[in-house]
Amino acid sequence: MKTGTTPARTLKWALIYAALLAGLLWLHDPFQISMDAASSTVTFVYQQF
Amino acid sequence: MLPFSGITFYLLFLVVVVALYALKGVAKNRISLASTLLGISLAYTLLYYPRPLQIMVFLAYQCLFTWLLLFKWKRMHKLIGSLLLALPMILIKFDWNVQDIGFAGVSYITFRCVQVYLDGDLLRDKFNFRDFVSFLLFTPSLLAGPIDRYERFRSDTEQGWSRLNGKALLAGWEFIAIGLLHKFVLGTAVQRYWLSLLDPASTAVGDMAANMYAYSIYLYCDFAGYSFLAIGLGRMMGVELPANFDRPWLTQNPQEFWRRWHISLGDWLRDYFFRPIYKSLSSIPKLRNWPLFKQNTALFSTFLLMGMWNGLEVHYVASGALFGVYSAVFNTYQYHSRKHQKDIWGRTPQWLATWASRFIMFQLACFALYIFSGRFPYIP
Repeated sequence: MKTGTTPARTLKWALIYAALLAGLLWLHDPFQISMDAASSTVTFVYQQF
Repeated sequence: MLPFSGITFYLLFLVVVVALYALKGVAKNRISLASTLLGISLAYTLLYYPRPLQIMVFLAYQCLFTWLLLFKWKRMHKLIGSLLLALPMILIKFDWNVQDIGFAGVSYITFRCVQVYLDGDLLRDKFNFRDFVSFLLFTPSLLAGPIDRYERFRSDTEQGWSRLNGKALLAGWEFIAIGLLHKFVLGTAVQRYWLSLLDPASTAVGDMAANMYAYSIYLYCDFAGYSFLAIGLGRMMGVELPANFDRPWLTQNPQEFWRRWHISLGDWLRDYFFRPIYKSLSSIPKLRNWPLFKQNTALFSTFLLMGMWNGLEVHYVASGALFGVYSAVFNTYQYHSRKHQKDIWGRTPQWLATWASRFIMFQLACFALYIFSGRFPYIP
């Protein structure tokens, strides 16, 4: 990944962080501080490996 | 606590990474980075990873037999040696009443051991148990890869504490942010609001298509996200794990697909399964003038094995076989295309041919992954 700062890169990472923050707040209960629901997917997908 | 599965893991490794960077000035003259990483991986495996006793017994078995095969039993046939290393995995995978010795991630450790053994002639002089165990148990890639190579891993750790710098920290953090977005936002959203609402038993074409696309997109988000997280944490700890996904939906043919999807597995299968099979077939005098047959047989066998490795259920085997058929058909097309200097796209504009190939390959890949999922109603 490039580490130089350009307007396009700044915009890209602003969008990524906004989507990440909004998505985590929307999909995971911040007061529960747990990602157990998502952790089940790890078990589901990877235990076969 | 499986890697990357819950908030505790992230907090634990936040502390580990902060401690590594804070103490590197003091530590660099007293202990090597390689030994430190081994200590971290061992501590995590023993204290937090499920079934630590089983892993330690397995590790002892792999260390003993890898050493014997590399240094004492040099003349043993490579196939027998590889089967010896893969024996515990085979017993666990095929459920031969040995579940008590099983643990999550057994395949990935086995793949790494087989790589060390088969590349033994190149790295015998560089082999030592500290690096070998650290390579096998490296926490970010312990459960589900990416499947690293011993000499590459060792070349990183040998560079020492200088690997831990601001650039590595930033690159690692970027991978982790992308991984979190894929796995815990996109993957979870697709799973919760699309995939889980579908009826997998429905045979209506629309429902089957929805199942096919939803599962494929979910699997990509979840698995690519996991791989980005592993690569990110590895970078922060000074190890540059290989890439595992590279925009697989832009693939134009089946062979390119495995250079973009689960790349480290595709590379491993190519180097340690496809090539030996092709070499064995090439040594048969009767097949000397049958290059296409040899290539297609090796391709199909490789993908069939990959399907069987996931499990002996019909949907896994069928999915592997289907990927094998895709690759063999494409290989045959390429062979004749080169021979007769003719292309299926003829005078079609390049951009149109590229996007049409991508569209077709997307459908084919999604269909094979749909079968893999076990949700395809005609193949249980």
